[in-house]
Amino acid sequence: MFSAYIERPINCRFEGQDQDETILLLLRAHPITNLSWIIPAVLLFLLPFFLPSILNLLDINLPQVPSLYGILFLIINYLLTLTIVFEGFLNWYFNVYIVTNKNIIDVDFHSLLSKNIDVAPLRNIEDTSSFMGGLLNAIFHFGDVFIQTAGTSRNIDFHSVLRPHHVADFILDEAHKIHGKKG
Amino acid sequence: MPIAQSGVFDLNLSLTVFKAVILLILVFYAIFSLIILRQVDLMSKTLITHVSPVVKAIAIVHAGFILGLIVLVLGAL
Repeated sequence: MFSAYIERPINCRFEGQDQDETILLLLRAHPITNLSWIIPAVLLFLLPFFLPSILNLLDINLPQVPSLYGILFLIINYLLTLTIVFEGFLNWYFNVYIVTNKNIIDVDFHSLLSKNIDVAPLRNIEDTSSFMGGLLNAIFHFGDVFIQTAGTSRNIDFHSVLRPHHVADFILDEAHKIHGKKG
Repeated sequence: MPIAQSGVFDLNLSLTVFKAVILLILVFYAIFSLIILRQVDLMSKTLITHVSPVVKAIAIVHAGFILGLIVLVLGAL
């Protein structure tokens, strides 16, 4: 359900999927990439616990404010935390790369209300390559896959996906099947 | 001779400003939560999984909570 690498997922469809089209591979960025929002969320969550100590340490005395305002500060703080977590999860969960028996689909939600879907038919795939560089990438085995398409169609890139070399090979094999060749 | 309490740092004035700031933050947050609701709707239509209705429900509850909180703050402060 929350995996970053799913072969032949069940109970999963995408916008514009044909009746005879089946999803072979559903990919998301590696879960470790979520640290970029998990760490700020944890820090913001812990902020109210450490704020009095920090203010004491800096020798700052706040004027006596009613406790209601303190409660409101807490509520706003935790609402912001909730938003960071929710937005982070949404961006991770719905930014997917899909390989079907016909097409390759890259679904991107760059920001709020910005949606971009790139579709490339498998028959147009000319070449694939993969790249894995960096400490985290090497430890957790994730990287980028670059898919070159024929003609003027836009190339498709999969970012931070699990097992990039395998994914690149899988896509090329599927493209060869379409072309009637052995991969 | 009694000293009149006045000036920018008067507590009552500060609390009024604080209340206005909190209300402003909450109003912006409410608008943001409605945008999130629309975003979740778009995302759920693009990738249809059994998690989508749950995410949509969370977004609706989230937006409703903020609107309720604004009413509560208006009444309580």
